[in-house]
Amino acid sequence: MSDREQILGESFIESPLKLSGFSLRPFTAGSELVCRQIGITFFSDPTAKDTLSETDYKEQIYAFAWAHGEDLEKVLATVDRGGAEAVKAAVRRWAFQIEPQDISFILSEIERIGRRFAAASFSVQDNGSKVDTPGN
Amino acid sequence: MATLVLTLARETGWTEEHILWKVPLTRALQYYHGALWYNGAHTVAPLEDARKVFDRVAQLLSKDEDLCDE
Repeated sequence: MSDREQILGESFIESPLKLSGFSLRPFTAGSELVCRQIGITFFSDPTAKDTLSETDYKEQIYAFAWAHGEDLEKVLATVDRGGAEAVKAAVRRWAFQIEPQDISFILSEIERIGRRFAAASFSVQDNGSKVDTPGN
Repeated sequence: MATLVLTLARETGWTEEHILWKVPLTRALQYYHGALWYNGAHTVAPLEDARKVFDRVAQLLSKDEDLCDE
């Protein structure tokens, strides 16, 4: 079994990450959209490697935790109707429950998602078929 | 995104809500990949961009020691 196959297999036995006061929902197609909406660049902007300050980095970690730990309906309502300032305020309020020891677990989760996302990504190529195949 | 949701819904019978909020993305991508392959699409994996994303995350994580100690 290759490393890639191993990583792909891991995603089938994934379980929610339980932290001290909350648990994180899995990183799904919907939460990837939420992450983009609220400006989390971990997964979508590989070229921005020198633009993220330590403050922004920390805020993104908290925002990621909020997006996956807060009640989903509250997250969606805040992102959809509240705007950037409302999201920041909600993240700040919610982040008080994050214990210092939780941070390393959240970071490990982000790293794990990135590794699995890379392994599961693929590209559709033109095979000469007349059937149009979608992008991804 | 719509194509992924529509394809998985058609192939599995899952609801949009289930696909968007319950199925981990890495699992959804594998099902989507399988559905495309099953229907004759030619795919290659992984994307070079995806490797860059992974490198980016790994790089970010390497500078977090101070953050973890707070």
